[in-house]
Amino acid sequence: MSEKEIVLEIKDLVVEYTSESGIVHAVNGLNMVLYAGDTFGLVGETGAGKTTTALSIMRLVAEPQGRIISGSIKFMGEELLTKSEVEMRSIRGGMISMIFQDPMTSLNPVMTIGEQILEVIEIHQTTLSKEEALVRAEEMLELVGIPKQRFNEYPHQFSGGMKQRVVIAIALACNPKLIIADEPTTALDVTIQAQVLELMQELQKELNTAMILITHDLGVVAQVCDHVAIMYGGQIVENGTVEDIFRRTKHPYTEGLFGSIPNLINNVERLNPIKGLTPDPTNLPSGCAFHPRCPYAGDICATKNPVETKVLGGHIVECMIYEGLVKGEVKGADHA
Amino acid sequence: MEQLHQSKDLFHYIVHHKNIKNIFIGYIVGSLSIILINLLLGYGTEAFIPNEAGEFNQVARTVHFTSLVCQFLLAVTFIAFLFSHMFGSQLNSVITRLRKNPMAVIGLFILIILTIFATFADFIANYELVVIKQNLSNTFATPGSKGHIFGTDEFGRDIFARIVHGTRISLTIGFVAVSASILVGGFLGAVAGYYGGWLDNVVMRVMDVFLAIPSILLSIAIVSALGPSLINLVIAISISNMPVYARIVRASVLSIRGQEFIEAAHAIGANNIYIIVKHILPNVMSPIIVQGTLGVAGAILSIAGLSFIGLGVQPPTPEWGSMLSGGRSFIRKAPWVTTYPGVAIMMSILSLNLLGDGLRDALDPRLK
Repeated sequence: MSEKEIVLEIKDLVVEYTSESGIVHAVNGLNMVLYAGDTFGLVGETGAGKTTTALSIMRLVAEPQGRIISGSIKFMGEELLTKSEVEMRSIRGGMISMIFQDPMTSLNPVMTIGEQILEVIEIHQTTLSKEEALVRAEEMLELVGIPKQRFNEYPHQFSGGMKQRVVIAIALACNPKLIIADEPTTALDVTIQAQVLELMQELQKELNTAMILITHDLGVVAQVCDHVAIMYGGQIVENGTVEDIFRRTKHPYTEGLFGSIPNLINNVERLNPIKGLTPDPTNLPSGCAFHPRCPYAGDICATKNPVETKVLGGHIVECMIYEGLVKGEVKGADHA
Repeated sequence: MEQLHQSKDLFHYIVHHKNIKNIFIGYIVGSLSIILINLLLGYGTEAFIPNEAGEFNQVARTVHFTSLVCQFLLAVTFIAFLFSHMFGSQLNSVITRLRKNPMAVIGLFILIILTIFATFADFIANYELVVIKQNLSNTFATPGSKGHIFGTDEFGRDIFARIVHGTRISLTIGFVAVSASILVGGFLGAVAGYYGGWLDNVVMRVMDVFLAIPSILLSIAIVSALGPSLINLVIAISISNMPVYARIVRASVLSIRGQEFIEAAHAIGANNIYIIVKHILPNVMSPIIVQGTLGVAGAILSIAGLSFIGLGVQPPTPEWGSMLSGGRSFIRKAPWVTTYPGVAIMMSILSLNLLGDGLRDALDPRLK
């Protein structure tokens, strides 16, 4: 699988926001690689920097408050961070498209859904005639399972799940190489979630698109993703295949995440959350960002930044335990 | 700011966007054909130049005014097409809701009657012979006397005829001035709200300066500087109304701009001009329509006010405000000279306010 084409490669990405209370360190030195046709799950708590990472790839971090400080984002071998705004516009929606969290608000209420699908086709596939573009838009609508008779209806005439299908149709309309789905199922109820995920997976396989799935739902990750990265404090703390993460959990934070999911078999009185709060990104702890909450933390964790350690194959962990500096034994999801 | 260097984008957008191009061509062809019809019928210049007897050709004047109305309608359709999303399916539900509001229907009805009067004014009364020609043998005829249902004024002119011709002036200036201030003010507000930053500050502080001066005072200042004429009146009223629309549009743009579908539009690679025109403006149309309708009423009142103090339309042109002004010395002897123009002003403003309130409710389903 190492022979697969690399779609996206992010190195040492640092993104900051300037706010009144100080500088928000949203993403601090993030590394990731995404191969063609793969689904990459980006998991983490609120404020871990998942959405900022996604917006950085699209170069849509809100300026002037947000700035990409350093790092490199290579898409199909080309550096995105040095591209001009005009070049980026042809990439957005054409090569990389994005699915937003809330389908209720990500569609324009005064445009028909047909027009909104047509719009992205007209912007990017300028060689198509109006009729061809229309045919293509109708095809996309049918592809996501909405009859094309509803082409001229408005978003308020659709249910949440149907709207998310429309959003998916818009995202796929120009055959992008990469789809970034930012919590695509969070706003939907569970049965619809399953349908939408199934549809996304199906279409992704059909069109051989790579996908970054941002979520905080580990169940969704297990169902859909090939690779998973766990984010904490703007960094990826553990990165590997689904098997690696779920069965051979290495990072104490990942262990804590699995530990906090209630279990069907064992009856527990209280939930078992990770102690403490997510760190304030304006004021990240020194050393390893997780050390104030980590059950294995030693003195060195507060002073030294952990480095990436390869455990097995592509399984990467950033933790002192694997640098041999702290003792600890992390259990996987099966054992928790 | 990078976004400010996008005039090329705008040009590119207008030239390459099929809809806008077609509508634009349609508008120009439509206007030309109206002028052509005027010429073909042989009324090319007769609407403006009197014949030897000092009379205007009535048919020519009607054709001319009708063509103005048509051009106005064409302009409205131009805008409507631009925002066809809004006028498409929602139009039906808006009309349905409007029809349920009896006051709004009354307002619309009065407005339609006034428009009919304005359009066919030349058939109702001859401009040269009845409206401005003095007849000193028949001054202060009481209302209801033979041939003069509203009586005559101090120069023996028929008040009804003058009011009917005055409708033409009031409605035209009102609509033109408000359209102009919506275009300019709306554009400034949209740009200020969308780009924010120093641009927003500069534009809105200038608007605040305009707002700080009472609008009637501002109009008076502008008209006295430019000199009283129809065009200057339009300019004065447009400028003094402009900040209101700039503020409304800016506020709506600010609330729309933060929504996710705007971010989604960025994410599909749309440029700023495209996003403003296709995504933001259709969403701010409702407050503009409501405020515009009420604004026409305000503009009509301003025209009347300016004419009343002698800065607006000059006598003998029949204008409601100047009719009031002319008749006020005789208010004890002949109250009808001032009463009927006053009623005309009141009715037109009442109708527009009723319609505006009705539209406000009809366009905002949340109020139901």
